[in-house]
Amino acid sequence: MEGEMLKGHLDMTVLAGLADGPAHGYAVIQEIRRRSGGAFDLPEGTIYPVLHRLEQGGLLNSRWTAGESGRQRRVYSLTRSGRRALADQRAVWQRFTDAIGGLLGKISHATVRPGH
Amino acid sequence: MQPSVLVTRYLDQLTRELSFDPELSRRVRREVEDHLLDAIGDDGGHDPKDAAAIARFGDPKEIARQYAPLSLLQQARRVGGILILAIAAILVLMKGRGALYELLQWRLPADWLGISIIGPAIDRYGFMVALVVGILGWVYIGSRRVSATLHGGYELQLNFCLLLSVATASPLIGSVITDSILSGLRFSVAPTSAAALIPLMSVMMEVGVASLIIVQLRKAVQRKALVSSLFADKNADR
Repeated sequence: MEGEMLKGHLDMTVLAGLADGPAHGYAVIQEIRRRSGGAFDLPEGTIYPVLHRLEQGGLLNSRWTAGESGRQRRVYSLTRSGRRALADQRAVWQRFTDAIGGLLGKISHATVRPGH
Repeated sequence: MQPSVLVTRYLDQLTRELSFDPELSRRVRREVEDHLLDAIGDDGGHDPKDAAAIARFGDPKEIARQYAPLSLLQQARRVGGILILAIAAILVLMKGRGALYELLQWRLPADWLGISIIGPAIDRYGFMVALVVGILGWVYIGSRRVSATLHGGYELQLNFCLLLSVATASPLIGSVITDSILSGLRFSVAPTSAAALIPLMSVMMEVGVASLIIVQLRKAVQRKALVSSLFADKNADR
């Protein structure tokens, strides 16, 4: 279920995975897994088309760098527009979760009062 | 660390599925190889490690499908940009050649089946239609936003982009062909001189630009067809 829910918010998730600094695709996935406590477990290959799309949209930059192993790897980082987009999406998400939290809170409050 | 046979086979399959965009396929292959080697290196409990890493990465066809919306839009943008540059280049070449003909007093032969009247009109109006449709197409293509999936509405937009490109290229190529014929007629009655090399080279450049447009349009149609075949079995399942 988390996987299906995540699909609709992949862009935001990937942007958040890069919020702490530049990283390659594998590290982004590890970061998403770590921050979500392992709840988000999509096929790893799903991340790369999103990274490419966000890069084309001007939200990410990327460049090839030499890793510790000596292998060339593509490292992604947020652009200024990417940081702004992440901040905007955080604000929207916060409003949404507050609203849903309020709604669910009322429902659960109503259901625990038998006789009403 | 070199990729195992299993990883190489997986990368080959992914490259094949991404054959609609060779440049993208090379880049993705390098990135995915790096990813899989990292994943195999980190994998503690699974055996064989490469099979587990590949399974976690996902179906290559499904991954290739996710690249298609961006790749098709990029191709449409490239064709749109090339068309605008081609229109500008052809305009400069045509105007330059026209000025040179005036300077050298190279007129069209008056008794050539009316082509000296119809030809320039076809040339002029063909170019004007290409200019107007080209600018409209460029604005339309530039204002499209990439979609995460290749849904029906997005496919319609991409088809319209291709249609606008063909609608720009056809009159433009027609104008270039007419212009080349008219130039040939002028050459036939003009005195032989070294000055003829300048308009001749200019015509050749125009023909080169027209050929480039045809190549780009062919690539766009091929990419569209390859992407359609990638989605064929998915659409059949619906």
